[in-house]
Amino acid sequence: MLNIFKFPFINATKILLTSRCLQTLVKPKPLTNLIDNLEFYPGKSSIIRLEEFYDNILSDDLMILNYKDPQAEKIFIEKRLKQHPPLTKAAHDVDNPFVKNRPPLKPRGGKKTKPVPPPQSHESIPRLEEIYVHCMIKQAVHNKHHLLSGLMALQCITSERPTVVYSKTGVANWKLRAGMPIGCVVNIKGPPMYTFIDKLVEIVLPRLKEWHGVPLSSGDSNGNIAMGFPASALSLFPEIEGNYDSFPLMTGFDVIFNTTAYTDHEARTLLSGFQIPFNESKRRGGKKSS
Amino acid sequence: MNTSRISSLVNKSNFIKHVKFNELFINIEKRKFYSIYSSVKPENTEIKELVNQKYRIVSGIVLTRSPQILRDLHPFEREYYLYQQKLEQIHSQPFPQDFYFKKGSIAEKRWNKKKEQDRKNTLSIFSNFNNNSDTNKNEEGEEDINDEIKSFGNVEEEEIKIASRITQDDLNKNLKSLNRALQRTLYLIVKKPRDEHAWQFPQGGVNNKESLVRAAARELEEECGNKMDVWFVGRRPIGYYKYAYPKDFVREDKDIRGSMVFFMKAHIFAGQVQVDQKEIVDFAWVTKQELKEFVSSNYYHAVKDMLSEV
Repeated sequence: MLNIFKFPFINATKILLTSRCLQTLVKPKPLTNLIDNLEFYPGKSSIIRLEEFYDNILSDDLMILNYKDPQAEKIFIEKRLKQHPPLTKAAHDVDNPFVKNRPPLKPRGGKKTKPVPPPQSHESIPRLEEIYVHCMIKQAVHNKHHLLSGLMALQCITSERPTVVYSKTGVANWKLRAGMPIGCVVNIKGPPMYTFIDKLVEIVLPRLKEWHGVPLSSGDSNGNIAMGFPASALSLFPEIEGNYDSFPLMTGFDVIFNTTAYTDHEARTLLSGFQIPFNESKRRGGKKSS
Repeated sequence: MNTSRISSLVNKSNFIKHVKFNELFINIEKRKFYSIYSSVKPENTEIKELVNQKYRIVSGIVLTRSPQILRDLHPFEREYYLYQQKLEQIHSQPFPQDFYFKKGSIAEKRWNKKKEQDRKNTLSIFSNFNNNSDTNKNEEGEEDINDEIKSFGNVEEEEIKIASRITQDDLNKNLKSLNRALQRTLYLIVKKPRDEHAWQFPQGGVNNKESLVRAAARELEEECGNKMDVWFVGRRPIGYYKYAYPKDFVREDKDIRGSMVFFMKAHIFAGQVQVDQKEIVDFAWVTKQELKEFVSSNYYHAVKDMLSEV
């Protein structure tokens, strides 16, 4: 197994050396959270319906639904380990002078390794960790003031301040160059995350037209599920519907759910517990999977 | 001493991971039972003994009605949240007024007026006499704004009545109602026509070549009627309870010593129980604490770990 944590300084220098990373680095929250501090953040200010629901009802059901007997668990872990790409010969050879005082060699191929789940316990029940709400605004190529509308809209619906996303590469057809501000993203955790799901599920999704649910093909096979929505969905949020005229530009947006589940199936059971509908047919008009 | 106590607890515990169900099912009278994952040859001696002792396999149903409203806050919790709310208000970013309101619009005037009113209200707590003189002066100047706001569409809102968190069924102590103890999880227990051990979760024997869930669903329909919307959580049991029959108990097969009940969890969404008066004569929806008064201590001890504290 690779152990990159043995050499943390190597990773750190890599990140610091690219100038682009410096711009997008999010400031860490201060260690001492004092009221006098400028970056003070208050704690939880009320109990939240969905959080209580998860703690009391959903987590219990998920434990029963996701339970694997020891045999099945063993098979699953072996399967995951097999998918890991093999290490090079040099990595196995400890006496090789090339390996000495160098960072550990990477396995062959560009494949990313899938994490192996820990033994089952009450701690391994899938949990919603964070949500990313992201939108790309094409018009910002010509005029970056268009970003403001997207920024304000995301701040409205998530109650957290978004950060601007800069393009990594240029696309000549769109007249986009590397380093241009092109979109915005916001990361929400804890109470704002649950209130966001509440709004999405109770108010926005039921009023969407021609939407058949999240396709089953969504997911990175590690328990993170993403879904995209058109611009019409953004205007259905109560905060935006109230003063629709204030926003000069409505954009489509993506919602990415990061869960602690190790498979998409587990993540889907978790999200459908929060009443997010899933569609069996892979794409609209596509063949229905049995 | 500690280690021995823990090991005994583990043996007695009814948490799912300590029982290998597939092995159990395969061994009984050499007939094939359906399991979800694999058919593994029995190795666990403990289970072997259990099966050799000849216990009847029974499927029980833990039918739950989940909490309907949020729980009451502890006084300290409420104080903490109030304090955090105030901090949040102080440290929140200023409202971007120029983004939301066009300059000179009615909406902006309305907003300013409301802000002014809020400021006055907070000031009035400290000084009553100052506030009175201020309002008299301002009312004359603000009349035209008031008219504009009224014409802007001041719809009379109906007052929302908040329902009581304690229902009539709570006050009447009507245990048969599903509209009681809204903050708690309720469990269905039924009464059998006998004197001892009359109250228990609904249960029934598993037929040949029948899964535990199928048996549970069938028994629930037979005993409690089909007028309930029920969803079973998965196909695996959440706990078990083993008991031996009393000596004078009349049974078909004399070799069978007792029963082993596997509990299946289910949720009720709508409907109500209908008593058939044959197998069961009464029913009740109870919380975990109330259950203790109905069932024997042995039964409660076996069952308590799979019930919710909330």
